[in-house]
Amino acid sequence: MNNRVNRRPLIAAATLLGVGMGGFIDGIVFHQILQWHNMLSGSGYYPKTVDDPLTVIRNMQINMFWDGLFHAVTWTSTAIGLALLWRAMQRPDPSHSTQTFVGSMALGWGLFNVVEGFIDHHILHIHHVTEAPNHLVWDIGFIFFGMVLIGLGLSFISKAGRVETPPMAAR
Amino acid sequence: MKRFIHAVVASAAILPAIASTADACPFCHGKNGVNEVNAGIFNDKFLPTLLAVLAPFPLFLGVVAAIHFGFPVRKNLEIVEAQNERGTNEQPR
Repeated sequence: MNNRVNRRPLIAAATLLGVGMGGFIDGIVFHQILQWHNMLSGSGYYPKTVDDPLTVIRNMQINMFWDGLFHAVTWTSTAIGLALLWRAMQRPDPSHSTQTFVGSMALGWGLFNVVEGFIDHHILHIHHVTEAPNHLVWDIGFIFFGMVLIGLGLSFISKAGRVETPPMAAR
Repeated sequence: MKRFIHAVVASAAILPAIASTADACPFCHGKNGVNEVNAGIFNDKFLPTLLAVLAPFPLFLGVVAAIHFGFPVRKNLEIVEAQNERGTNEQPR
C-alpha cells in the first residue's frame, strides 16, 4: 500500500504556472493597462519619454514587438506548466493539496518578480517599473513584493506538507 | 496528436519571420523610404537584445527542474531516510 504522496511534480508544475501567470500580470497590468513601461522602454533603448511624437510612435511599435516576444515566452512557460500539472495528476502518488498548489503558484510569481526585477531593472536596465526619475523606489518595491510572495508560498507549501494524507485510491 | 502539436509549434515559429511588423504604420517610413520600425528591430543589436529579453527564463526553468528532479544532496537524504524507516534497501521515489 502506498502511504506517501510525492509533492515535487505538483510543486514544480504550479511554480512554473506561477512564473507564467506572474509574467502575464506584469505584461497586462504594467505594459498595457497602466502603460508604465515596456520591454525596452529604458532610457538607453527605445524610451517613450522623448519630445518628437513620431519617434515616440516608432519606439512604441519597436517595444510592441519585444513585448510580444516576452508574452510568447511567458505563454510557453504557462503551457509547459499546464503539461507538467497534467502529468503530475496522472502519477500513482499525486498530491491534491490546494494549499501546496496555491503556495507553489505564489512561489512562481514571486520568483518571476525577483529574477526579472534584478536582471531587467537593475542589471541590464532595459526597463524599469516606471520610467520616471523615482523609478528606484518602484524597482525595489517590485522585488520586495516578489520576496513576500516567495515567503508566503514557501510557508503554504511547508504547512501543507505536514498535514497531507494520500488520496483515497492510494490508501 | 503529436503531429498536430508539431504543426502548431512550427506555424508559430514561422509566423514572426513572414509577418511584417509595421504595415499598419505607413508614416513610420523615413524620408528615404526606410521602414524605421523594422530597422530598429532587425539590426546588429537584435541578438543581444533577444538574449536580454529571454535572460530570466532559463533561470526559471532551472529552478523548476531542481524542484522536479530534486537536488543531489536532498536525494541522498531521502535515500537514507527511507532506509531508516523501512530497514530495507528499498529506493525512495
